[in-house]
Amino acid sequence: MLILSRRMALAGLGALVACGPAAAADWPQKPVTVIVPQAAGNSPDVLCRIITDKLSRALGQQFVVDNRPGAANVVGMQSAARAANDGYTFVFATSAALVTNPYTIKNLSYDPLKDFVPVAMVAKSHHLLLVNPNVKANSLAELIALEKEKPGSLSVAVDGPRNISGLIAQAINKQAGTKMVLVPYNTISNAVQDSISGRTPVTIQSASVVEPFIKDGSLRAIAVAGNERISTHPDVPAIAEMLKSVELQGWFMVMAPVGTPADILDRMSKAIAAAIAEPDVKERAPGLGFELAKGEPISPSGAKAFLDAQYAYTGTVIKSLGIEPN
Amino acid sequence: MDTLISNLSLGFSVALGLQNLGLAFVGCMVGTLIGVLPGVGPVATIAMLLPVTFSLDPVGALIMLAGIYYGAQYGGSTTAILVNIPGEATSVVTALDGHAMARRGRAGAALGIAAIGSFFAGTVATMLIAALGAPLTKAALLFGPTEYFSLMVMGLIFAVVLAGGSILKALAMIMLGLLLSTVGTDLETGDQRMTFGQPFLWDGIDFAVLAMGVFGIAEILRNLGQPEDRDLVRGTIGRLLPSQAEMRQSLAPILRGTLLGSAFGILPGNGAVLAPFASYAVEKKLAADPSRFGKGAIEAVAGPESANNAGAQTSFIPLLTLGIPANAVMALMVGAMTIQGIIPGPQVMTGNPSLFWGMIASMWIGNLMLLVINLPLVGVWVKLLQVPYRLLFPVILLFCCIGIYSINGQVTDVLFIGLFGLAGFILIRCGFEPAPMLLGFVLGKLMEENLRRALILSRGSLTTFVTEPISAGLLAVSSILLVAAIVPNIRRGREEAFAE
Repeated sequence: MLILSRRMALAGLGALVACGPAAAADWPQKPVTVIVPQAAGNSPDVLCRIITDKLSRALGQQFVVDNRPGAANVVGMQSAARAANDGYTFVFATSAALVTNPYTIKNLSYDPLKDFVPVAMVAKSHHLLLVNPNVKANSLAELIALEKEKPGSLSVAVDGPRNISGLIAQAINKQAGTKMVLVPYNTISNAVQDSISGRTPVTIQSASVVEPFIKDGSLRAIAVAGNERISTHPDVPAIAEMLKSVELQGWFMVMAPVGTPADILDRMSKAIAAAIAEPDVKERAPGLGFELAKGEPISPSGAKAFLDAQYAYTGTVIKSLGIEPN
Repeated sequence: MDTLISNLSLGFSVALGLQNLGLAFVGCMVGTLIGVLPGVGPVATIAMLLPVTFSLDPVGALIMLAGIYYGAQYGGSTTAILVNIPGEATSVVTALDGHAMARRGRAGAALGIAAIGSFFAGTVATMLIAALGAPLTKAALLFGPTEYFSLMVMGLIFAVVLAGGSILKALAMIMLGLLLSTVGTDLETGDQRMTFGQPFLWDGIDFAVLAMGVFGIAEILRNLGQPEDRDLVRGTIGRLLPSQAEMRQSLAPILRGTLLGSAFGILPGNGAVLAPFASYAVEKKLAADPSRFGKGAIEAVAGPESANNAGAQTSFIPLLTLGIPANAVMALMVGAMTIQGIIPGPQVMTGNPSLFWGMIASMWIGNLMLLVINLPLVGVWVKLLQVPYRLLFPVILLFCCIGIYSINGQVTDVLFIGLFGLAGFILIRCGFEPAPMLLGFVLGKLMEENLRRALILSRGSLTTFVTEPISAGLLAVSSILLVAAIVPNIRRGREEAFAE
């Protein structure tokens, strides 16, 4: 509460500053920090570095990536929430930090909706449902049928019960009435390895990680998380095509501490839009497992609408799975 | 064989290019210098320098990162030997006898044999990767949660052997290490365990924080407690390089260490961490006079250092051939490759042969450079020991604080090294050795995760550990080792009891 009230006070202060002479005209005057709540080399970090490289060139100041990993994004989000709202700190937030943590973590030390303002949606990150080639199922429907023949026989490798792929697996179990057993892995590589060797015949992984294994036939993609097919695998159906209420997916959004002057947010979001429209970014993104944002969500208001909808939706799903914050 | 030679010549033609040669040198140099700073191990070093590589071409970037990796690994051993601060789990073992040698005035010999052993191990491991990389990959896939659990059990037995003194005290320290490793988020339920609601504990205690505290800070406290010690360390420097007798003594341990390290390194899931511990245990078992271990036996530096470097090298196999990173450093390399637009995996070898073989060739070149960089530096490092402690200690403390802060950017980490330092000092004073605790800590996490995964996969049946052949074999070896380690102690204990 204390943090919240201080944040409110800062918000008021920020609003006052914003009323002053146009802040955005001479922004940025010094290097801008972009906090990534995950470790260097992780998927959000890779994307953030591609974008900040473009921003540095376009806006004439260095955009510095500050990796603050730890405690399921909480460390990074917390430091971003407490940063000055002068337009020199942004955070490259993950969907886990913004819409999952509020429902899975008790006494979360930041409030995604009150401590931050959205700047721009950047990209969705695709998760694929994959099976070992020896599994006799070529579609989600066949997999569900296979599991129902012998309930509880299939193991699915996931990242944890409260993380995105674990939540997707539980949502599938709930909607389809299957009893796949979740096997948690905190390193992606071990999960992939055990699925390749067939110990965990099913897995849900970020598309960027498993692409090479799909290519060489050691894993077979049978569904894409979310409600749309993706350009790299146009013949793989989306999970929501069969199970209507399983639309969970990962995404990244640039946010700023609440009270950051609105015209700076505006300039930043326009610069991000320009960055993700550059041909080389567009060309590389699909291979890295990202689908870049398009149109309205790459603006403060559009991003807010997307965030609010996702916040509500994820809450409904997590509560329906019987997961309590702890 | 012909293809191997043509592949290697392709690799060397890439790696010997002027730019790549320069990058390998810069990487090794920077890695060594940063690695020497207490607490800044390879992971932190590569994470910090990752952005520098973005503007390079992919082969050059990876060659430089790999150089930083070996360099930091080597630099970390230097710190372990000189000031008893292991930055990585793998240099804990080096600190044991390496620092004991330094205290006896043989720091130069310890550093020299570490460099020579590492170079030899690196050369063998590089050849191994080139010749057997692809087929060995299949072996790695044989290891699942069940096998890993049994492997870690075997690792714990090494911890018993590591202990110089009482077996009971060693067991107590292993248990303490296991307990400390359970702090953090429960993998299966996502619940917080012993975190007291503090986010900095959610991911558990950081290894570097614990190691720096119980080794580094505790060592400083201990030295301050007995001022007479310091003249001993500074008084005699001795010859800088190992003598011929020492080289002869180290030859077999280097060979055995290389073998062990190469084998453990191939296992994904950070099997390499066990290699130096295994080598130490083997050398101690084979030694004519095991009582020298812990007091500065050169075999106990030569073997584990070779094992460490061989493991570091062969842990590239799962990355390059399967696209599966074996440890945190390799995961960072995956990130670096991804940023460069290369998705690591089996097709790198066929689709991008100049990158694949160029990197392998650069590994050997990097090892050679490390030898060239480090042998002359031995003299410089040893001189550091002559700096009066009243100057040296504050500097070490300062670097420890900066180093640990640079890893996660958390003030709590800095406070914790102080806390662990005090705890470590009390433990040393009471005759408890910290090394078994650290091994227990490192293995505890892996053991718990794999035990629980294995039990989920077997749907709760414990028999999985004896019905899976590899697991059963590992457990059998463990029980033999345990008996071999404990029986002489019990007997000795009885004899002592009778003697009274």
